[in-house]
Amino acid sequence: MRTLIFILFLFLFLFICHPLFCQTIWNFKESRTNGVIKEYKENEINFHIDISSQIFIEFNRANLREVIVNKTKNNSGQLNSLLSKIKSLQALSETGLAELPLLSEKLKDLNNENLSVNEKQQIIKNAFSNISFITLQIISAAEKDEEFYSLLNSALEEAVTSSENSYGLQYLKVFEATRNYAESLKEKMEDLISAEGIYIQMAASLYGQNGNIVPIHFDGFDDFKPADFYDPYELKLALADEQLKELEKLRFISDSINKKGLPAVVNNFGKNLNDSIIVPAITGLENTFDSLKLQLLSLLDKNFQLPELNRRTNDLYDMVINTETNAREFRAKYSNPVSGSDAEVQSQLIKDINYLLKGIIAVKNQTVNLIAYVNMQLVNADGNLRRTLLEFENYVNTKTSEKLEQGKKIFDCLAFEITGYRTIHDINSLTVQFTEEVKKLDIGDLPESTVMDIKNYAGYRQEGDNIILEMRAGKNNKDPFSLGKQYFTLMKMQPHIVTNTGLVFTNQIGSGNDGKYLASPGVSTVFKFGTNGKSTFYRKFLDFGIGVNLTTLNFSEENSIEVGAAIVGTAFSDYFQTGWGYNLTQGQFYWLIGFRIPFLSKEFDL
Amino acid sequence: MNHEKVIILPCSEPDKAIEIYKELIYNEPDILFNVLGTSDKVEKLIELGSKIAAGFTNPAAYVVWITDPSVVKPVLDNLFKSNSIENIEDNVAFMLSITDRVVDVITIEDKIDLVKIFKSFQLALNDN
Repeated sequence: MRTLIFILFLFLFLFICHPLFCQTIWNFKESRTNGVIKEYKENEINFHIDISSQIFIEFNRANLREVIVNKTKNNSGQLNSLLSKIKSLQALSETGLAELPLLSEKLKDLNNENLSVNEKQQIIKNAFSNISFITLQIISAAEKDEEFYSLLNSALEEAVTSSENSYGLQYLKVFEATRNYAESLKEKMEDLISAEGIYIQMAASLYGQNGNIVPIHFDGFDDFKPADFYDPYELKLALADEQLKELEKLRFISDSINKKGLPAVVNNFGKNLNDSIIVPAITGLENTFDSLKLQLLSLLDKNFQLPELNRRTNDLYDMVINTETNAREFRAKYSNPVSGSDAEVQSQLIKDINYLLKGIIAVKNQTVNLIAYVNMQLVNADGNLRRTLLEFENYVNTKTSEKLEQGKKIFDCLAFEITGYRTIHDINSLTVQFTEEVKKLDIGDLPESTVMDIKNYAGYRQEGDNIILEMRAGKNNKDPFSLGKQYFTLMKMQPHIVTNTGLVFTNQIGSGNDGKYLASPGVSTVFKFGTNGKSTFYRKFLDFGIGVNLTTLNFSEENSIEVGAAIVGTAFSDYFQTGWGYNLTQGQFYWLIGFRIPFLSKEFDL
Repeated sequence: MNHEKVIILPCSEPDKAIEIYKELIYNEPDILFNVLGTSDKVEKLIELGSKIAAGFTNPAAYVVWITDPSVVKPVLDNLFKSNSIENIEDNVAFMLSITDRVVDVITIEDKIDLVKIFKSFQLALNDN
């Protein structure tokens, strides 16, 4: 039984804590220009929305209030105790309502007439232990709250006077009354939040591909002037400045291909890529590791001699000890008494030996001091070595992190240029700009819903741009804190027309030129089908198109300018194009294969 | 009041009353809300108790009305003694759990309402 109660408590605890981790403060509904409405219920980090949509934001005030109270430090005791009461009553009612349908199943064996009284008692105890425990908790809370107690009485009155009176109905009415009372308490919380001086703000920033950051106006939330109206679906046949630059570069590339051949140009392109990106990256890494290597060498150089010194002083000590032993033996040998002139010689010899021995003992003492000194140096060196190794480790860690971050940045830049979309890593680093124009609102002034009107208020934008929406709260002069953040990636989901530049290889039909392809710069204007936005894979990666390609040709050396028009099909965001065309100047048909070339007009800021 | 859920002990026949009461207590795992004596408060307890008990069919619950508690005093003494409860005279009602333990007592001073009675029933069911 104790285990059951423990499990029930654990369940209640998790139920109470659960909303703290995944509370949704808002729900989003996207309205597209073609009338399609899409609801975003899942709490994804990044929503892919149509570039000209309107996003209806419905606020979940109950959750918002809870998040505000949970995240605001130093709230009054009244506010915290009200929140804790609401959570507790919510948890009890929801757990009770979940337990209720299980009762009849748990009691089904009670009808067995062969059971003893004890067995029946056991079945009843097991069946009602949880639900009666929850109910007693609710009644205990109601006994401290007159209004709640009165509501419970009314709920029970309703149950017992019903023609369908049953314990199930009695429990149901009690749990429902508890849930309703918890909801009603949430309304009271709003007044307390306002009284605490807590304000809320909401803002959104559009991050363009050109690096521009544009605030998006929300009625009632800010004083921003809406950006000038821009329709990204409007057909624009004129080439942008960037595309004109690309054409110029493509002309140069195609001339080179026609003169030097494709392999030489590809080789050259590879070399340029190598020189501009790969070599600097590798050189950077090499430099880092060279620097690390030097640090390590200087470290080793500083310390490696000390053990050798230690070894040599010990050898010296051994030598001194040997010499001393020899001298003592020598003295002992000549210490026996002799007579005559030999006695004088012996006396002088002993004197000399004693003098020598004295010197040896002095050297020995010096050696002992030297050994002590060297040992002390070794201990210090060990400390230095350890400290230097720690510094070295920190240095390696810092450099590695820097390099990794740089690597991610390079990847983000490359991915953005090739796909036209930021990576999640890149999107996550974007922040909303809360400027002075963003109003500080009382929670009571928060409307039930609002609209992020991208269509009318976001101004100039392109496919692949990102919008970051954030709501935050603050109290008095303290730093505000985020209540919720949502990222959006803009995509063209309606049918539309795209103009791209590319490198085109043309081959005259029936010219007998041995299948030789001529390179030239081309411009393709292609129709893109709409997508429902359920899967972004099609638009981001396959993205088929059909349209026309215009290119300059050079089939005959007689004409300085030849123009070709072709019908083309494109795939993979127009990176691949193929089609059939007609040389308007020469009157000849041709096949073409075309490619979009990335990195033509962009400089990398690495 | 739900008359079907009220069992009135025949206190004018003490032996029979004791026999019926013992059978009620010990022979079935029913929830028994016991009301003692006669007064306006007792009538209210019977009325509210029978309404709650009406919801309990399996397991069953009853209001046992003991108009003269002295008639079944030995049984009551035994029940209260085994649950270390004194001053039986102050009580106007008590709840017996499905394992025949006194789990709640209502005194003459207690405020009587449906929540109070419902709580008694829950204590009887939460018989650990």
